[in-house]
Amino acid sequence: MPGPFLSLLLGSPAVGALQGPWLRPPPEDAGPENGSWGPEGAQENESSVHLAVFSLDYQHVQVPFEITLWIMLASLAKIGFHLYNKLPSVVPESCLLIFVGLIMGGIIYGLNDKSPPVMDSDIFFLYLLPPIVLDAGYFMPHRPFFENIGTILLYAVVGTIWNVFGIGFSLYGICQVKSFQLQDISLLHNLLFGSLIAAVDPVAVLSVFEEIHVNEKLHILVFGESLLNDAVSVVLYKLFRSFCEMSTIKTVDVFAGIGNFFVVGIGGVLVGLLFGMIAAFTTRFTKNIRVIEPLFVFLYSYLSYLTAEMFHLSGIVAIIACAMGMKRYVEANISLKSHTTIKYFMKMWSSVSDTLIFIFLGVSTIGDNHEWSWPYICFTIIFCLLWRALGVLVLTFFVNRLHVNTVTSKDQFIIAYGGLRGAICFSLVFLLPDFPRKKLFIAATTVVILFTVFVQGMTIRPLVDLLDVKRKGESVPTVGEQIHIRFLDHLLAGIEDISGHWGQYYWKDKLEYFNSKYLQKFLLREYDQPKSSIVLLYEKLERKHAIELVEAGQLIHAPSHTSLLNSNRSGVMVKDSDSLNEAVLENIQKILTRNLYKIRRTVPAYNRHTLPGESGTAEQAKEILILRHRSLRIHMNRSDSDHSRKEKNDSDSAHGGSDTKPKLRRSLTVGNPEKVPGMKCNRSKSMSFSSPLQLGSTELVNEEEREKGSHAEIEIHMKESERKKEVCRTEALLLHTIPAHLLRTGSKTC
Amino acid sequence: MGFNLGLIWLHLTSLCLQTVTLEQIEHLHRRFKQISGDQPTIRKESFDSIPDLEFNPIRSKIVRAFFDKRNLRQGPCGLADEINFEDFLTIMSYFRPIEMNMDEEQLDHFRNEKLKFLFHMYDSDNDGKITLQEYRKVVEELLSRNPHLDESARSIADGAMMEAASICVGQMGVMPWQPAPVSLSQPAPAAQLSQTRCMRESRLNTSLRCGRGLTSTPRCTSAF
Repeated sequence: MPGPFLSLLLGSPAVGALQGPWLRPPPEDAGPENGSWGPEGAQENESSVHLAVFSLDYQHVQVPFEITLWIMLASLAKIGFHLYNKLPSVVPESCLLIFVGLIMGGIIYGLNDKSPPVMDSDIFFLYLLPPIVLDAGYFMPHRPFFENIGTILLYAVVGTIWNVFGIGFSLYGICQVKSFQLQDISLLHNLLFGSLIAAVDPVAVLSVFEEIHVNEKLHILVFGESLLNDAVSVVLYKLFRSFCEMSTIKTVDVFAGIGNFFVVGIGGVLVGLLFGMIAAFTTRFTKNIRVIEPLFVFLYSYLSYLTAEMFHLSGIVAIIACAMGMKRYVEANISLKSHTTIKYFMKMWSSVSDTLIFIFLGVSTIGDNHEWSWPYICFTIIFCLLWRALGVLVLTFFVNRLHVNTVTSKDQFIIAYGGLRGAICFSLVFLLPDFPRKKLFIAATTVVILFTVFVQGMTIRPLVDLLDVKRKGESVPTVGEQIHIRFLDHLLAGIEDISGHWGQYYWKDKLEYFNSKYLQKFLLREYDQPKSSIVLLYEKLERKHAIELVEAGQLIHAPSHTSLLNSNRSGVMVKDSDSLNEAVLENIQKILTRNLYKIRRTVPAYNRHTLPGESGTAEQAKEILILRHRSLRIHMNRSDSDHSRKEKNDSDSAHGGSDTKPKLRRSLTVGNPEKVPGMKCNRSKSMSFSSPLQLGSTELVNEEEREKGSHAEIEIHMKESERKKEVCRTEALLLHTIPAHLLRTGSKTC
Repeated sequence: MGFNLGLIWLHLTSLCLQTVTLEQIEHLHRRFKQISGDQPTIRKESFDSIPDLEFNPIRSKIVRAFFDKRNLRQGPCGLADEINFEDFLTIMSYFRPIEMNMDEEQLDHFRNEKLKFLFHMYDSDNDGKITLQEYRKVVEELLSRNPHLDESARSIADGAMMEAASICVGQMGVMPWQPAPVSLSQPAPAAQLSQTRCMRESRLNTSLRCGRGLTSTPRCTSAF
């Protein structure tokens, strides 16, 4: 771990003065003396040093202390950036962190007068990189990834090879120029350098792209490429490095290299899937020890990474395959809280890793490790940009010929421009064997990384705006659209089956079949009837909705349209859905399902800072509910004659209430479909929470109709009563008591 | 069997199906023979032999679409008992891609045809209207793997219909109400018509991957 930074501080004479008479040197022979401390010690006091009232032993805690301090520094830096709101929008976070690192490096250099310790490659590859990649793989959106997998693989494999050889050969050409004095760099060295500088870095790409919010497809293309090119770059790097050490290179070695590539890539995937399946299987049995469930996810993923690294396979590909493979089954098996825990911890660790990486990048830049050569470095940057642009152009030409969804030229520009290099290159260059020009390579790598992160990172956002790259779709697809899309999917799959035509649906359907027939029975604890994703999200939203309303102090109780109706609940009046007014019901449903689809579609694919599914809609809905709650209180203070309200005192509502129907009436405005549904919950009362909570299923709004003019509005009826005040009190009561109960839901899916 | 594929190709070309090549017809012919078991016609039961179709939730609708007389252009309503190769091709032709060199009128006609096909799939009782019941059935079929969720299916369908109604109600004042692709002479409830409108408005893309099948042009998207 870098830096006895603190020990510097402590070692400085200023601190030494403080130590003076209060410090007691540690005993040299602590063994037998310890037992007989008491009386002897007292006697010893007079002869030797005084008993220490206060002692300082830094060596004891040095390593963990410094690690924690660095992490603390990273986190405080992050807080600092986000305090000043405008800054992250102009300068990407990665730049700021490198800057902080540069400052830190400068300080260390100044204090210590020698190079600050460089980030250890082992630490980077074994500790800092896995959390980020795990986070990326776990939250990778399946559908766009697999839809574009061909393109991604093409860019990753062929593109990287193209870049490596292009940069290597052109730099070799530059080295031939006599005036540059670079002739001692052989072709092999140039190729080696090319192999480590050509690879696009997932960490840097992630941190920059998530702030510019391009459309999902573009994001997944660049991101997927940055992850998968690890296999290629690992192979090429190792290949060239071993070539450097070999005296002669035969053709069979080249073929061995090609074969190695396949082994690395496919082997990585297999290792990952294996661990993923084992993890899924393990979680099947964790019903009684929910607390350690999240641990399994992390342990197995990390194991897959380490195992792959052990066999010199691609660890990144392994960990991604593991995460994607196990996600589906693990999430069905574990509890809701474990699920949240996993999400939180992943985000936390990847965030910390990310920050630390950039800071160390900055720190390591300062120092004596560099040898400067203007032509080499400048041409490196130029060639990196040039070959990447060419590669993207050529490959996209082929992609567009083969594929339906074309990659437009604006997309191509962003892909080419978004090829950022980062910490992986940096670590790889330090792993190079020592040869005379190593420092030049280090310098070149550093410059390229700083250039891409700073210049490209900062300018990509204005360029995106300038080119008006298609942003994430703003419009909410309607329920009808969702159904149509699903319908069309199935239709096309069916037609393809009939016509004997294999499309992407073929593999998807095959995989689904395999999954439902074999895997699910084996890996899932409760093999329920698999629910369609529409319904899953629907239920999830209903539950979420209920929780939000509860939190805002308004309780709903209603029979839902699911199996609640079949259950035996005593004392809770269930209103038959058929007798509800169609319009009213549909309004609610429409709002709910529109919420549903909004969540499904507009959550950004990958976001470093927030948990998936947390941003946007949930917050908005909550906000709206809180606002309504406020307006409700205002409403209450006005007596409204034509409002009627029924209310049930909840304290004795456990099973009774057969005469008072639980009701929630709301006023709904159905306006612009694009906006978040404006639900005015002016009155929410009644609660009978024992039974529905036991079922733990979904709750819906039950309401009575009240015809009023437009089909879109249902008025709230509030009964004038003296119990207005009681409402407030009971509300407060409920706020404290309900959430725990309500949250103890039984459903395990999603 | 004595099919003269060249004749069929000419025939289809005359029906303005220029985008179908001889090679594609041959492929489909092979497939047709496979499905029908070397018979000249296929019936509904022939589709049982396609294993992958079993897992398709809207299987029955798809199969039915092949025999729908409206799709086959044989009549206003009803189901044919069996179809021959030409009918098979007719159905398949609904999925051919839009060519870039079509003019506006052709494009419009083309899109209308596709839309009608889809409409017929929803409209199971052949009355030219999609009622709430029919729509519900569609949603239920889409969720057909879970029999416990009928209620949810219903409410989702209801929600969709209402939403469609509200969208069209909102739009009716703005845009002139174009005649629905399925020409309903009698005034139909807003909700029902609106479905077609929604289908039209939403820029849904259906694309069959290029391959040996229907087309080999690079840009094969048939947009609804």
